[in-house]
Amino acid sequence: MKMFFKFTLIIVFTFLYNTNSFSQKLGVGVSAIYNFQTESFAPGLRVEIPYKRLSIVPQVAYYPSFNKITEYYAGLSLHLNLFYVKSWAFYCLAHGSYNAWLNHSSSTMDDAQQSNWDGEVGVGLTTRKCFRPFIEYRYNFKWKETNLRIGVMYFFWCNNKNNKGGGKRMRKTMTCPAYD
Amino acid sequence: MKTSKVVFGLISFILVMGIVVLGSCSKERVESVEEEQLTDYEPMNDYYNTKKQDEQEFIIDTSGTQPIVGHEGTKIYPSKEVLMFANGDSVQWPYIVKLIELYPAKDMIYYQMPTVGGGVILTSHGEIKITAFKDGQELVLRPNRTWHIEMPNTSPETGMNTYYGATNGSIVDWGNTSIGTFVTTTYGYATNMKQLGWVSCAKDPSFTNGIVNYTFTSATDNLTTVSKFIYLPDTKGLVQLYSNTAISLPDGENIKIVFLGIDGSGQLFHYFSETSVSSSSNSVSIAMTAISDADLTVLLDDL
Repeated sequence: MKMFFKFTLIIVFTFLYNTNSFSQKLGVGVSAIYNFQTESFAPGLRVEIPYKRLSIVPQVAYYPSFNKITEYYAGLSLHLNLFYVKSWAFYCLAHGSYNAWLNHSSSTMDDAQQSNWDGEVGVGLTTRKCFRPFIEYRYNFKWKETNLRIGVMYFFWCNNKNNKGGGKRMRKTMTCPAYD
Repeated sequence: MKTSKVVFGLISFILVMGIVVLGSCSKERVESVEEEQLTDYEPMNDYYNTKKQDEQEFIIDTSGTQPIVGHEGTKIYPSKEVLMFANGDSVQWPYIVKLIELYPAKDMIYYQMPTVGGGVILTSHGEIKITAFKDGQELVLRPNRTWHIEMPNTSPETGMNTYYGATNGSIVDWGNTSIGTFVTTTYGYATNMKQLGWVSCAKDPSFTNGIVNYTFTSATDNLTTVSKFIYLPDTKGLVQLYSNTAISLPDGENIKIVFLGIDGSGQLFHYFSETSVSSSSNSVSIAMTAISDADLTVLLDDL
């Protein structure tokens, strides 16, 4: 666990150090998550720190007790923007997280335990505006489960003047600095 | 948008999706939890109905002699002169007397008739129900008149009182005060009933050691429809837990915990434990196990 946090801190500080105007490129957001295999719902919170084509995205998610699997995740994603189509950005992601499976004692699995480390990969689609809806589809290697995340991010100090958060198409010259 | 970017993106996307497909998603986790879901039980009422004491009927006319004696030894000395209809009209022969007798704890369990009055666990040496009917109408005793009854007991104790049961829904509460007393006789107990209905030969044992709050949980069984009884053998008190799974019990008392369930196929299940009330063991984990009808009968006989 210590190694994970050390690794996380190194990545975060490396990005912050290399980001000239970090304060203008910080997004916060919420998401709704559905795990297809456990048929569970969860809310999620995330922060996004973009740098060129990459973003670091610390995030948490909690699957409440009304689900068959009750658990929470706290982890870090690395997003890589693959290509842009008009105002849309397609990205892939890698994710590592701490997973606390709270009702693991109800499971008959031999290796069921509360503390777990998970790795995920996935793809996502978002806009390039200050107010960005996004959708992600991810695969969890640990549990061999997939989840769909739909949410919205808001980027502070975003200065694309024609953006009101609507669905207008954006010209490249007016994209958010996050993707400059 | 450069073509190379699109190609790079598509390749990445295909790689990721390939991993997903090759990884073959698993429902192992959720299925492992579903397997551990609690076992549900059916209500015990139908089973109890096959086991509980019958309500005996006696036709009272000029040909009989007193007393009426029930299967379990209860003696009733009925008198038509002290009976009346609810509107005060007099009663003529013949009329019917009905009797239910609950003496051992087993019969009280089958009838779901605990010995709790006003929240107090009472010592009871027998619960009986005596009613009278004429032409389908329930009769009552005239004011200030009584029926003499006797209840069998080989070791009668002094200080036993007459508690009358008040029906609250499907639960009979003995009230927190007695009305009249039982005297000891060579037969057992005797009293003059002031009203027809449920009557218990009981007393407040006045526990003095304080109480301990007990909770019952289960990782394997849904206790909602399980019949839950606590029997106090030393004081002959019986407690039933209804929707709740917690109760206050007198500290230091010996108790027998009896939980009964039945599944959809009619298989009986039970949990039985004998212990002393203690704050160090007041959280009880219940795991129901199958039991035959014969073995359960023996277990309840030995309470």
